[in-house]
Amino acid sequence: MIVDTGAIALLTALIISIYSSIASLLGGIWRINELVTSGKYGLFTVPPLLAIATGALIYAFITHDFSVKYVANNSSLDMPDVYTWVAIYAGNAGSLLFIAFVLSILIVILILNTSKKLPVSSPYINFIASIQLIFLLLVMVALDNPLDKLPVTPEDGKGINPLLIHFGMFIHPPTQMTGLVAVSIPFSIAMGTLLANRGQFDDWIDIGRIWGMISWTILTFGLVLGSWWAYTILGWGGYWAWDPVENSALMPWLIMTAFIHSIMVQKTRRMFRTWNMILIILAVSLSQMGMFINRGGPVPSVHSFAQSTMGWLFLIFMAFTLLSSITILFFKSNSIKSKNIIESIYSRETIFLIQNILFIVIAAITLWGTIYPVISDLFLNQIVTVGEPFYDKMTGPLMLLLIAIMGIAPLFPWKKGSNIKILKNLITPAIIGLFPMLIMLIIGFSKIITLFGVWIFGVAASIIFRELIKGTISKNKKAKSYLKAFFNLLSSNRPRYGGYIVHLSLLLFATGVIHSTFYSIQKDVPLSIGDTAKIGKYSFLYVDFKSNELKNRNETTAIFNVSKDSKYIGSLESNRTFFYKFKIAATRAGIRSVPLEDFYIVPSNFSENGDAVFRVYINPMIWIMWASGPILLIGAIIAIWPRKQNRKKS
Amino acid sequence: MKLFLVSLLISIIPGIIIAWPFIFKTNSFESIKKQIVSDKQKSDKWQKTISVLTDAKLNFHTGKLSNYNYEKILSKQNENILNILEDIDASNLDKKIFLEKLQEKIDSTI
Repeated sequence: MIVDTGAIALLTALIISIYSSIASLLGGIWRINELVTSGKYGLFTVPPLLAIATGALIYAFITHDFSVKYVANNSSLDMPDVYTWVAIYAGNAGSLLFIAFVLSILIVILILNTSKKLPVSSPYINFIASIQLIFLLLVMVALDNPLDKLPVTPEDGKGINPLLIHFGMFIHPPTQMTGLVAVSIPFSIAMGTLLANRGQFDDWIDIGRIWGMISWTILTFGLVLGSWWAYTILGWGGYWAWDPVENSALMPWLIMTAFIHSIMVQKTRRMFRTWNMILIILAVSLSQMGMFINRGGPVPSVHSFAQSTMGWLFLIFMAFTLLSSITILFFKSNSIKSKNIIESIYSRETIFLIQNILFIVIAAITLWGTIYPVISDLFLNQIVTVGEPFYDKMTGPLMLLLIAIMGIAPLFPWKKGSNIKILKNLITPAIIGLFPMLIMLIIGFSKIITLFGVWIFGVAASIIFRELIKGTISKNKKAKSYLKAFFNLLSSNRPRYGGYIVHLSLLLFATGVIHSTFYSIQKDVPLSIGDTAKIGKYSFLYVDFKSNELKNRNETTAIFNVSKDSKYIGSLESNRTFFYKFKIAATRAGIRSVPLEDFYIVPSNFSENGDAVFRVYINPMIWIMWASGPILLIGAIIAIWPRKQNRKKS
Repeated sequence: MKLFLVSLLISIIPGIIIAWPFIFKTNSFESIKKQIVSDKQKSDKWQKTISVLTDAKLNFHTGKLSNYNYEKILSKQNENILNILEDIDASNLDKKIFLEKLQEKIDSTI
């Protein structure tokens, strides 16, 4: 009964969404307020309806109702109730329901946000936003309903993918999916504004920027959490493998990064209108491509959990979005032509343009590497996979260049700058940047490429700190304390100073990436209980192993005593679990993490007496990478926080 | 029977909600009208300012307007310009560009 109720709610949500979409569009064209409001109210009813559908699915999971196909495929009697949340999006249909539910909530917030601020564009924005919702609901209702029933109820379900049984899975997939679908919100704002013929007014910029920042922040967190999950649970010692699914999340992130910068040019100089439209169209198309790759796209991936045969539908929808958006842009392009031009190459708008191009080139390289196996299969009759060396070689230097540009950008003024003044302002940071480089050299990181990287990071960081310090000092004249002056500075231009804090966190992250890439040490060591091995300054004694035979899995844990420079630093446990039903093993690395480096140990197969080959890594500066996450969040919140509206004089 | 009632409820409630604006008519496009009117008013105000400044400058140069009155008109129109720029939420740089364009327009008209 409850499951049936959920299915009815899902169908009703689809019908209401179709109605709301049509009502919004026609109401907007014919200027019939009742129709627009009716469409708006219709979209308000979709989240409660999808909440009923989601609630029904959760109920089916908790009561182990294996008559529901999705529950039978993604859970079992021995699955703890707490993993119900993960099981909801472990398969295709459930993840679609999750995405649709999130999107419907975002649409409601969007409506509340735009109805009064963008009254003319709002009906068109609602129309565009509801198209993607309709697509998701239609796929579910017509092809893959999470509440579909089986003709015969099995006694037990197949169970949840064991790799998903990890704390990171509670937040990484939902964050990533939310980030991908959230890209459609700034896209809807931009396209809706174009359809309403209000592109030239630039009144969508503030709302578009905030939504762009929101989706960018969620995407960033999804990526960082995914890397953290890969590092701790997949047990291969790394955090980024250039896997197609990872790439499919990275590409919209790259374009969104370009967009949130480029939209500042439109805000400040009323330029880049068409360019911003192109960026947001690209971002939404790539996010839809991400859904395609994740759902049975042609590219093999190590973690396409939601694999199904309907990937091609998503590709068709992506092509539809891309073509229809380009058509709208083509016909409306005259109305958004900017009168302002780039007046000097020594201007911030030039720097933003170069940075935008670099982001697009990196995204294009990533796209090429991701789809090359398909192209090689089609044209060369052999599947050629593209590995890490290709991406590292192609994108590494560009990323370093991007960071250099990110660092010097604050030195460039809007409109027109003086090259002599910029160079003058660059001298001190260039000297200060040498200090972290020297520190790294003293610590022992002596490769030229990493020293050069650290110098660039140092220059970038010192420019940002100088901006923050100078600003604080100038604000201190009015404020009574430096702390108050600092907060006054942050609130005086939140996008700028929030952005600087985000940049600082990215510099920390990049420091981690560059060092862990060039200084990681890896060793495979066969060990029996009582054996000791050495790697770098570390030695570790294989003390004991425990084997635990459970109903659905076998857990084997190795215990080590670890010493550094002959000094005992602690005990580590490294685990391997084999799941009988799935015939897959999940490893949990033993990690000792300090700011300077991680000691990381992961087992392969254990023999009966505990003999095993262990893969041991020393990964420098990983801790710094994870530490950059909270700093990024603080910066992003500051940048997103809307400014107080000045009361206008009557 | 229960399922029938529940499904009826699930479909009827959204139905009532979407029909609501037709039953209890709302102000027809009040906010949209306001925005369009406001955009037009701003544009008219801007054009009027240009025309007043152009006339004043022409009159001043042809000796029809005293220095005192010319200054008075300038100061009043400057206030108008600043109000319009505040209204359209222009950035400092935009304000500068707007004022430059305004000057160009006045100079070219005379």
